[in-house]
Amino acid sequence: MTPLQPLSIVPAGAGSGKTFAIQQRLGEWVAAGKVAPERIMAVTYTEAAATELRERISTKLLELGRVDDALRLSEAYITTIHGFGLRVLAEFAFDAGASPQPRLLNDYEQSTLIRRALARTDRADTISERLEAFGYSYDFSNNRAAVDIFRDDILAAIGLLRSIGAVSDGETGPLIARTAESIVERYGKAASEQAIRETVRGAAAALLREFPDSMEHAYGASKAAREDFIRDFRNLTRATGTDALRHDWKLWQALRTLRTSNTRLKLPERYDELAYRVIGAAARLRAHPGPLEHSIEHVTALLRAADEAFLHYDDAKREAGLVDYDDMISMAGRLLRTHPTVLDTLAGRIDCMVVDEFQDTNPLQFELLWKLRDAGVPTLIVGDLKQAIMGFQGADPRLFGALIDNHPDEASPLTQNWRSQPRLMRAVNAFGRALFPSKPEYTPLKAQAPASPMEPLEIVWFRKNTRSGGRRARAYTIGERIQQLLADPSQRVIDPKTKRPRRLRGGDIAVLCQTHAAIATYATTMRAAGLQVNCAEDGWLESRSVQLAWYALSYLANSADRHAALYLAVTELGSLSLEEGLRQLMEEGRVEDPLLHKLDALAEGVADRTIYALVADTLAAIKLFDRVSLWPDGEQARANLVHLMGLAAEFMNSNREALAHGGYHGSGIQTFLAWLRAKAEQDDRQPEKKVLDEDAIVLRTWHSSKGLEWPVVAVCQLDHKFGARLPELALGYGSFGDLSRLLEQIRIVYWPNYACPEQNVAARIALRAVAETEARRLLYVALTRARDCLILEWPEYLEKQWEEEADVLQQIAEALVLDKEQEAQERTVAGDLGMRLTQEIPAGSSFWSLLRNHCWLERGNSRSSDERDAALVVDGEKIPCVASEGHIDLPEEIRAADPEKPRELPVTGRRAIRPASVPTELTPDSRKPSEIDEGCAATFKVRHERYSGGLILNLDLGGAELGTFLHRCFEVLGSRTDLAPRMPELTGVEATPAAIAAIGTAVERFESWLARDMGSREVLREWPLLMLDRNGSVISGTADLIARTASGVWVIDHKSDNIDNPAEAFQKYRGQLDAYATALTAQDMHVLGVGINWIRLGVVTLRDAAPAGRKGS
Amino acid sequence: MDDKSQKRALQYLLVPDSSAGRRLRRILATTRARSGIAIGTWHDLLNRAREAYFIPAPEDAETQFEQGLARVDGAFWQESLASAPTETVRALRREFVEAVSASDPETALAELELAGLADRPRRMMGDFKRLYHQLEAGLPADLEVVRHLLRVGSEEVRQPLCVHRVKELPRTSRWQDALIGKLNRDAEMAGVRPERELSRALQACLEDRPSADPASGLGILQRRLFEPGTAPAPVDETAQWLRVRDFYQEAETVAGMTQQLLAHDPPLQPRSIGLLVPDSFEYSVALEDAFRLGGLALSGLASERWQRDLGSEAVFHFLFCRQRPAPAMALAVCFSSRLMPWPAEDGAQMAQAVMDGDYSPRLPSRRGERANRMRDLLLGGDVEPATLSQALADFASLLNGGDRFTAHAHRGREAAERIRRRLAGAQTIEWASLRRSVNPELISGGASPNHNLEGVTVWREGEESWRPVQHLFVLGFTHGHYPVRPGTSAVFSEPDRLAIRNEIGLRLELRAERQARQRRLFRKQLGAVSGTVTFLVPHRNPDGTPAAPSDSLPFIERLLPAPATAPGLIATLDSAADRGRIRHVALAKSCAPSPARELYSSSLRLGRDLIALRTDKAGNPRPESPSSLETLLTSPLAWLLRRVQAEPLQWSPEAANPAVLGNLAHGVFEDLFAPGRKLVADEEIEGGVEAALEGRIQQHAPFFRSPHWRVERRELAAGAARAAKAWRRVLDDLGANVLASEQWLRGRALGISIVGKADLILGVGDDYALIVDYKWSKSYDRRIRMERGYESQASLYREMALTGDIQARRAAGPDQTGDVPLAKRPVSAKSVGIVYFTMRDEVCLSDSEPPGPNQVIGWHAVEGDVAGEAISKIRDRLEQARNGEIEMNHQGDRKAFKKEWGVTAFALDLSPLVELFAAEAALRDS
Ligand code: SF4
Repeated sequence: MTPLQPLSIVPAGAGSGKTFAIQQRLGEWVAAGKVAPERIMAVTYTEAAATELRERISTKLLELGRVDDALRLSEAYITTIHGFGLRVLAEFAFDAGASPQPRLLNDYEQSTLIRRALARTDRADTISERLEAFGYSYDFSNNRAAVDIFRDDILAAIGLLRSIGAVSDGETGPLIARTAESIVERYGKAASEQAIRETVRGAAAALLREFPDSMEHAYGASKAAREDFIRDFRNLTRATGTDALRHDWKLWQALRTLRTSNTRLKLPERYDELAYRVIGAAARLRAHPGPLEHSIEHVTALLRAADEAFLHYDDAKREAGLVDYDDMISMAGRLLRTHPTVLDTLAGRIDCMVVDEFQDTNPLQFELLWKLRDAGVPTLIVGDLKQAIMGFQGADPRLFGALIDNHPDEASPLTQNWRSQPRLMRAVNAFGRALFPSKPEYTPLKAQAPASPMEPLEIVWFRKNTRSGGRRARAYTIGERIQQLLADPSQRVIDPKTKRPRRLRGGDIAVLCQTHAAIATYATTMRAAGLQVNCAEDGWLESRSVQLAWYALSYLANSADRHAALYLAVTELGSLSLEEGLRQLMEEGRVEDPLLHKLDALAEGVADRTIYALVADTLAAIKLFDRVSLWPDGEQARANLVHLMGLAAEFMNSNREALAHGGYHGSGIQTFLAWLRAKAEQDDRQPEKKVLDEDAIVLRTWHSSKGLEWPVVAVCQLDHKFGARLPELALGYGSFGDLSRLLEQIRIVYWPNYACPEQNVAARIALRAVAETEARRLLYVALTRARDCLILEWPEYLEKQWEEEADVLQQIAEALVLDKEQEAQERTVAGDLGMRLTQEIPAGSSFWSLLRNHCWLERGNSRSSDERDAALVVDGEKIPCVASEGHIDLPEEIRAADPEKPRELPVTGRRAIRPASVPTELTPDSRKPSEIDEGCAATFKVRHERYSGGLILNLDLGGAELGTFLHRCFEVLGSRTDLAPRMPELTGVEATPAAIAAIGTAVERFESWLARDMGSREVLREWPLLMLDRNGSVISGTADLIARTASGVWVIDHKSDNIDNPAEAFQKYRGQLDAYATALTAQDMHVLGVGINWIRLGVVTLRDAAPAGRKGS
Repeated sequence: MDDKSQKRALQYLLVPDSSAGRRLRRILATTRARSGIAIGTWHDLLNRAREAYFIPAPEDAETQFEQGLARVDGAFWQESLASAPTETVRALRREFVEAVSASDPETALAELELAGLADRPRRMMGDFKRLYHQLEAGLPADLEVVRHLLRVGSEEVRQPLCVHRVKELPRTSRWQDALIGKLNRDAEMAGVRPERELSRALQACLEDRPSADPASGLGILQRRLFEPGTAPAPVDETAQWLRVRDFYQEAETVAGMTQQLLAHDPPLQPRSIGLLVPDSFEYSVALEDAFRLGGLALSGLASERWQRDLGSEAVFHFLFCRQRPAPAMALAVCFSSRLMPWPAEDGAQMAQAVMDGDYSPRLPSRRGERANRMRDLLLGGDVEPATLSQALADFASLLNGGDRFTAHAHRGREAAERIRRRLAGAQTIEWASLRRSVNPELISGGASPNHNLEGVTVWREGEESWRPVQHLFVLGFTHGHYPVRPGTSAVFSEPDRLAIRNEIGLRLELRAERQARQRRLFRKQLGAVSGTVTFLVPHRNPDGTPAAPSDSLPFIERLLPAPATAPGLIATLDSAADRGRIRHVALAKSCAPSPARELYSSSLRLGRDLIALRTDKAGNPRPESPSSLETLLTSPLAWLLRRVQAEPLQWSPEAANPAVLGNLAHGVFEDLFAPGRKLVADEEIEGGVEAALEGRIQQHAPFFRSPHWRVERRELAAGAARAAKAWRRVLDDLGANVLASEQWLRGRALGISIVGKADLILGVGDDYALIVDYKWSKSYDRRIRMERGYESQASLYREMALTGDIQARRAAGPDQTGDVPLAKRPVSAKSVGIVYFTMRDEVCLSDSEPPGPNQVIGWHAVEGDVAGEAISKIRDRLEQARNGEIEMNHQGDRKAFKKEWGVTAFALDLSPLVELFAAEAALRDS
C-alpha cells in the first residue's frame, strides 16, 4: 500500500469542485485504510465551509457503505482553523498552563479590554501630545476625533503584531528597529537640515522684503486667486516669523506651490522671480532629514505602544481566564512551538491534514499548520490564489504563492468546472487568462455543467455618467433588464438542487456591487421599479419593532419614564393620539393606556429577573410578536425581535468585569439598553428575515459573493476604484525560502505619507501594484459566480479616463527606469511627475480599467439598443454577447414611486397558530402525598394517646430543618438506640448531648408504647409507597413508620409541628395518611388505622380504618 | 407482604435519569399500588445507602480536594491552577473521580503500575497517583461515601437495599459496580432476593423498543439509524424534516402543527404529541410563548428560570464606587438597587440624576439616617484596606431588601463578609481581585418543570422520554445536537484513554463510547414514538448567522433518501414547491397586512397656552432660555416634550463626547477670563488651563481623572490652551476688558421673558460691549448659519441685555447681588456686538467688524442680520404655542434645515417621536 504523499497541493479555480475533490480523496483514503476517519484533520476558514466539509465527508463514507467510519468521524478535527486551535488549547490546556475551560471573549468585550490596555501605555505619548503634528485631525466623514483615529492606528498595529505572533518586548524590539532601518533606506540621502532650512527662510524673507503686503489686494481678481494669495502670504509669514519650518513639512510643501504668473494673471516679474527662488529652495524638502525622523518616531511609537498595550491586554485576559479569537491560533501555535511533546502527541493523532481555502491563511495560522506538516503529518492543501480576497482580515496570499513556488512538483490543479454552462465557461476562461497572464498561470477549466438555454453573456453599456443620478440610472437599467428576463417564459434555468430545468425566478438572480452604499441605492431603485430584492440592511436599532420593545423595557425599568409611556401610548400598540397623550401629560402628569397596565403587571419581577426573562416577558405582555405578524414588513420585524432576544442572552452571559471595563455596570434593563445602543453602533445590520426568498433578487457585495453561485449574476459597479492609501503599515517577508521558519522572516513595513510627494512615489507604485493584484482577484471572484448567465455593467464613459491613466502609467514606468539610472547620484523622480503622480495615482483605477486593458466591446452595426450581434473581445478571443445600452437618467416615475410593499401576509409561522386559551385545570402527573388535600369536610373520630410528657428543645434550627432532624432521630434511634452519640455527625446538626438524650428518651418511650400498647411486632421505617390516585396522578411517598401487629398494620407519621389541638391538626394530614393506607390495602395488607406522632407533644393521634364501604371513594 | 422475620429490604430500581424514573413509577403504579420499592438515579441510591448504613455526609470535601491539588509539587496542573483556579479544580475533579472510580476499589490508584504508558499519560496518571496519596483521608465526596460504604460490615445496615439494574443504563463505574454488588450481597445475607417481577419491569421499561411500523420511515429510523448495512427506503409520511428560520419560528411552527394534528384527528390527545427539545432557556421561552398563544398546555417543559444575584451585584458595584473616581453607571446601579434603604422610586430618580451628570444626587428629603449614611458611603472612596473594610461592614449592615429581597440582602452581606476577610491584614487594596471574588453570577430560582397529564409532552434532549407519544417534534436539530457532542478532556486524550485501558486496566470511558451512548439515547427517544416524527431545523441563529444541521442528517439521508424530484430531505417552509410536501403544516388565511397606525399629522391643537405651561410661584409664565427657543425653532414638538418633561431617560457610560468636552472647555475659559482680572499672560495660559481643567473635571466629569482618559484629557488641555492663547490675542487686539463671565441675563424679547447665562461680556472702550458665546467647534457651519440669518443665540442675549431687565445675579453665588457692569453702560443696539468664538479653529464670528482701531486676527464679520430669519420664525412659533398649536416637523427637515438654514437640528434627535410624527415632505412645499 503506498503511503500518502507528504504534501500535495491542489490549486482549484472557481467552480472546480474542490470540496468534491477533498471528499473523494478522503473517501478513497479511508476505504484503502490509509487514513482512520477519527484521525482526519480538515480545516477551513468559515463555519459554513466546515459544515459543508463535515457533511460531505460523512456522506461520502456512507455512500461507500462505511457507517462505522462515518460515526468515527465525529472524533475527527473537521472544523474551522479557529475551532481547531480552540480544541488544541482545550486538549492541552494543562501543558499550556492555561484554563481547561477557556471562555471566549466576544468582540465587544475584546475591544473594551484592548482600549483599557491602551490607556495604560505611555509609549505613544510623544504622538498623542501632538496629534495634529502627526497628521491626525477630526475626520468629518466618519465623525471620528483625532484621538480615536490615532487609537485605531495603534489597534491596527496591535493587529499586525498579533498576526505574526510577535508580542513581547524581546521579540518586537529588533522587529521595530528593522522597520525603522527600511524607512531610512528608502528615503535616500538626507541633506543638512539647517542649511536647507536657512535657504528657504532666506528666500521667503527676501520675497517678503520686496512684497511686504499680501498680493491679495492688488491681484486678487478672482476668488481662487484671492484665497491663494491669502494662503501664500500666511505661509510666507509663518516661514519667516516662526519656527514652523523646523517641524511643519506641509508648510514646506505649501511653499512649493506659491502662486506665480500664468496666462490669465500677470504678477510683477520680480515677484515671480523671488517666488521661484522660494519654490526651488523648498523643493529640497525631498532630502530633508526631518520628515524621515518624524516618520520613524511615529511608527516606532505606534509599534512600541501597541506592543505594550498588547501585553497589558494579555495580562488582563489571563487574569480573567479569557481568550479571544486570535488566541485560539496564537496560543495553540506557541504551544506547539514550545512543547515538542505536545506537537508529537498531536501529530501522532493525525493521519492526514487537509486545508481548504488555503489562500485565506495568515502567517500565524500558516505557522500552526506547517508545524504539523513538519512533524510528519501528510498534508493536502487546496485553494485558489485567484480568489484570495480576504486580505482585509489579515489573510496573506503570498504564503500560498510561496508554497506553490517552493513545491512546483507537488501541485496538480483541478481542471474542470461544474458551475458555469459551457458557453459561459468560454468567457470565464478568457477573463481568467486576461486577469492572470503570468505566474502562476491561469489554468483553463473544462466545462462540465450542462448546457443552458440562456444567453451566457450580456453587456449593458453606459454612454455617460451623471453625478446626480448615474448610479441610480444604472441600477434602474439592471433592474429593467432583470424584469425582462423574469417576464420571459423562455428564460429557463437548471435548478441547482433538483437539476431540472424550470422558469427563472427572482431568487436565482444576484446583483453584485462593490460597496454597501451602492447596494442601498440599487435596492431602493429596484424596489421602486417594483422588484423584490433581498439585501443586508442597516437600521436594526431604529426599526419599529425594536423601538417598541426598547420603550416597553424602558418603561418597565422606570415607570416614571414619561417619554417611554408617551411613546408607547401614541404609537402602534397604544390607544392614544399624540394630542391626547400630551394633553394627559400636561393635565394629569401621567399617561393612561391599557398597554402600560400590562407592563405594570410585570413590575414585580423587574429587580431580580434576568434580562432574557424580562425581554421575553415584555414582548409577551405587549404581544409584540403577534402584532408585528400583521405588519407589511412583519417578517423583518420579527427577525429583529429574535435578534434582540439573542442579544439579551449574550448580555446576560457576558463577563461582568469585561462589561464594566467598557463602562457598563449592572445587569438590569437600563444597562442592557445602554449596551445595546453601543452594540448597534458597531453593527446595526438587520438580520436576514427568511430562510429563503425565492422571488427576491439577491443584492450582495463582490466580497461576500465568494463561495456562492447563482444562475444569473449581474456584476455591477465596475466603475468603482481600487487604490492604496498612505500611510500604510503592512507585513513583508525577508524571504520565503524556508517556510518552516516563516515567522522569523517577517518584517513590518511602514510606508509613511510624506508631505513631499516625490518621496511617496515609490510607495505609491509599490502599493498600487499590491492593490491591483487584489483587485484582479476580486474581479475574478465576481466574474465567476454565474451558472447560466453573466450580466456586466459596462461603464463605457470611463473610456477617456482609462486612456489617460494608461498614459500616466506608461510615463511612470519610463520615469522609474530613468530613476534607476540616476540612483548613483541622487534619487529624484522628476519633480513635476512626482507632483502629478500624487494627484493621479492615489485614487487608483477602476475595476473596469483592469478589464479594459484586455477587453473591448465590439458592437454590431445595428443601432438598436439590444444588439445581438455584439461581442466582447477578451484577450484576443471574440465572445459573442448580448449588448444593450443603459439609461443615463432615471425615469421620473421611478423617482417618486414608493417601494413595493407586500400585498399579502405570509401564511405560515405565528399567524397560523389559532389563538385559544390554555386550560387552567391540569392534573399533575405525580404528587407527593403531602400535597394531597382531598378537601372533604367529613370528620372522623380520633383518639389520642400520650407516650411521654413532650419534648422541649432548645435548638437553633428553622422549622423544616428541625423537622428533618427529628425525623432522622426517630428513624435512627428507633432501631439503634446505641447510635445516639453519633446523631450530630449523622445529621450534621450540632445538638448538645443533653438535647440528644432528651430526644433519645422520647424515642424510647414512643417505641415502647408502640410495642406495648399497639402490640407492634415489626416496624418498617421510611417505607416507600407508590400508587395512582383517582385522577391518575402517581403518588410516590415515604411512610415514616409502618407497625405490624398480629391483626394488621398501623401507618404512623412523625410530625414536629408545635400544635395545640391535635384533633384539628390531624385533619391537615388526613389525605396523606389515607393515601398510605390505600396503598397498603391495595397490596392486600390489613390496615388497622393511621396515626400521627406529635413529637413535641409526646402524643399520638390515632384513627381507626375507615369503614370498608368508603375506602378509596 | 410476606411474613418473614428478616430485615425488610427495599427493592431499589436504578434508572439512568429522573425521566426514566418517572416513566417507571407510572408503569408500576398503574398495575397496582406498591410499597417497599424505591426508584431513582445513582445519586439517590448513594444517599439512601449512606443513610441505611448510618454513614455521615462527608464534610467539606471540596476544600480538601483543592488543598490536595496545591500540595502535589510539580504536578501537571500547577500552572493552570494558579491562573484559572475555578475551572482547573472543576476539570480535575471530574477527571480524577473518573480515574479513581475506574480502579479497583480496594487499592484504587495506589498500586498502579504505569510503566507501560507513554510519557504524557504516564505523567498525568502519576500525578493523579500522588494526588490520591495526598487525599488519602478525604476523596471527593461521592468517592469517599462509596469507600466508606464498602468498608462497613453488612450487619450495620438498617434497611438492606436490593438493587435492580439494567446493564449500561446508567453506565456505572467499577466503584459503583462494587457498591451495588455489596448492597446486593448484604441484602442477600439478610435473606432478601430481588423480586423478579421488578427486574422484568425495569428491563422492559429501559429497553429500546421501537414502537412504529418497522416498514415505515420512522420505523426504519428507530431500528436502523446509525447501524451498518440496510438498503435505503423511500421516505414516507411518518417522518419529515422542516427548515424554518430560527428557534422562535420552530416553536411557532410546532404550535401550529400541533393544533393541526389535533384538529384532524379528534381522538388524539395533546399528551400524545411530544416535543423533544435541547436543554436551553431559549427553547423554554419560545415554546411557552407559542403554545400559550395556541391555548395548548405543555407538560414537562423545563421552567428553570435564573435570577440575578442582587446581593453580590450590589457589593460588586459598591467596590467600583469606592475606587475613585467612581464610574457613573456603577453609582447609578447602586442607587437604584432594591437593597438600598430607600424606596425604589427614590433610587430610580437618583440613578437617573447620576446618569444625567450629577455626581452627588440628593436624597428626597427625610429619608432617614440610614438612607443618609448609605448615600455617603456610595459617594466616598478608599485607598486603605482598613477604611474599605469598615465601609463594607457599614454597607452590609445598611442593606435592606424588605420582605421580597431578604435572601438577596443576605447574600450581599455574605459577599461583603467574604471581601472583608480577604482585606484583613492586606497592605493594599487589590481592587480587581476583590471584585473577582464576588463576581455576580446568575442564581437558580429553583422552579421545577410542571408535569401534568393533559399537556403536550416535552422531553429533554439529554434525558430518556418520560411517557410515550404518537407524534414527535424534534426541535433544534442542529450541529452539536442529536446526539449532543461530548466535551474534550484536557487530561486524557482519546488515545491515552485507550492505552490506560489496555495497559493498566482502568476502564476510562472513550469519547466515542460516550457519543455512542448519546446516539442510543436519541434513537431510543425516537423509538418511543408510534406515529410520526418531524424534525425542525433552524436555518439561523438568533443573531441571523447561519446554523448548521445536526451531524446525524447524512445518516438519516442514507436511510431515507429524498425523492429525486425534491431538492433535499429538508423541506423549507418558505419554498412554495416544498410547502406541498409538508404534512400537518398550519396555514393561516391569506390576507393583506393590516395598515399601520397612521402616525403623522401636520399640527397638534392642544387647546391651551403652551407658554403658560410652566409658571413660577406667582403664576407668571416661566422665562424661556435662548437654547430652548432654538429647539422651538427646529422642532416645536421637541420643545414641548421638554416642557412636559417627557424626554427619553437613558443610561450611557461616561464618554468624552463633544458636550462634555465643550462644558469643560467653557469652564476653563470662565476661569481664565474672569472679570476683574488682568488679562492672563501668554506663558501663564498652559498652567492656568491645567489648574482650571482639574477643578472642572473634579466637578463635572470625574471619570476624566482616571488614567484611561489620559489621551483625551491631554488633547483637551492642549486644544483649550491653543484656543485660550488665540482668545487672549483677540482680547488684547480689541483692548477689551472682561465685564462679566457666566452672566445670568434676564430680559424680554419676542414678547416673552427670557433668561440665560451669557458666556462672557466684554467691554471695549467706554461705550461698546460684546456678548460672547464660546463654541467648542469649528467655525465653518456656524458661519453659514449666520450668513443665512439663523443664528439667534447671542442675539437673544444682546436683546436681553438691551431690554434692561438684567437680573443682577451671578451664577457663582445667588447671594451676590452686585451690579452687573453692563447695566451701568449706555446700551443701544449699535453699541452691543455679538461674537461666537469657535474654539476648535480659533475664529471669531461676529455680526460686525471688530470695534476699535486694531485688526483682529481670525475675526470674521458676517454681513446682514445673522439672527433675523430665526427670530421671525421663532416669533411665529411662539404665537402658535400661545394658541396651543404645535406645528409638526416634516420628513426631510433634517436635510432641509442644514441645506437652507445652515442649522444642524439636534432637536430632531431629542425623541424618535419627532420624526415618527413628521408630516410628509410634500406638504412642506404647499
Ligand atoms: S377518603 Fe374519605 S375523607 Fe377522603 S375524600 Fe374520600 S370520603 Fe372524604
